[in-house]
Amino acid sequence: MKFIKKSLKQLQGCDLFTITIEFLRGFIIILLFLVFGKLISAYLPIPFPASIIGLILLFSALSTSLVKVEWVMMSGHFILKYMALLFIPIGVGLLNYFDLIISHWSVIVFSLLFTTLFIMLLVGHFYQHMNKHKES
Amino acid sequence: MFFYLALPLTIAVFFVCKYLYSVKPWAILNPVLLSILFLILIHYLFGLDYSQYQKGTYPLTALLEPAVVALAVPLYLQLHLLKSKLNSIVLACLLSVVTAFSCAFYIMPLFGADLITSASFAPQSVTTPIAMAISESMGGIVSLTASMVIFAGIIGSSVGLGFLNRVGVKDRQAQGVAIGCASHALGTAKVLEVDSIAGAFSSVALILSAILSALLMPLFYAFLFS
Repeated sequence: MKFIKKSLKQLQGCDLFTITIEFLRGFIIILLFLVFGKLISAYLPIPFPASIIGLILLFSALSTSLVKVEWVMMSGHFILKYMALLFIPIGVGLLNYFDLIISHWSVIVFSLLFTTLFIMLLVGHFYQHMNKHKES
Repeated sequence: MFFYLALPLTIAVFFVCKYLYSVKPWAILNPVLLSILFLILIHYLFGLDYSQYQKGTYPLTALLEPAVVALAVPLYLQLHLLKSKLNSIVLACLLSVVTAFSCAFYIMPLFGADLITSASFAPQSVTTPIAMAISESMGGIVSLTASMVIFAGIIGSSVGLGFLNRVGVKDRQAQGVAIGCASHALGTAKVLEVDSIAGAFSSVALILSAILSALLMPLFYAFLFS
């Protein structure tokens, strides 16, 4: 976190041109990895989201220092900061499914409450147990 | 006409809702949820055509894929903080994926869900862009999944920590992992407010459980239901 703040602060002193170039560089790298992901997913026998392959590839490239994290830091930070905005148009698509929501509302609410809390309970206890085991 | 208005309207509504949330930070006033409800209302009031809106806002939808790729950046930054715990986190995330899948496909049908709704429920704990991709690949309803993901996040961020304390999960790291697995980014934001180390566990858990869900859920589905 400190690292992000530091590198963002460095940018504040820069002129608009530098910031734009910096932003574009990161964005192009991210798009490039998405294209790699799409290429690979086109040759996979099972349907698999190309974006996830892109994520895994970019993560591997960062881990092996093939891509320096500074190159994608700013664009990555920017996209993720406003990511919530990107879901809205899909969410509005719900208006095509009012009948389904009305006929299934009880199972929808139940699934939300039950699954969310059940996962927390199981995963929380499981990890807590593993963690204790490791420390002792 | 509406085609050209759709994008600026969506952005404007989102920033107004974001402002509202900053004034009154109640979980239920979640800016995304509020924006969706408000835009649906606008569609009804003015009798607008959703397909026009969908085409007009395509630039936003198209950015979802690069946004998933960009998740590699926080994953990389946080992961070396907690390398020694990685095995336990991956196992916990696997457990979460299997649980979410079984709940959706084996428990929910008992309460009236059919195959399509189950496929929409299964990725509800996964961060939205990845959840939508998973739902689509299993034939679920993408809009329903997107909305449920937001509600799952709201549940986790509002009652998550209180619930975990009550059921005896007191370990901060375990709380972070559990909320990251069950309530993705919205839950993680809440954990970050309370404890930055638990927050790092939460964000790694949210990304890993999303990757594992995307790898495994369509496979399970293909084996078991088609």
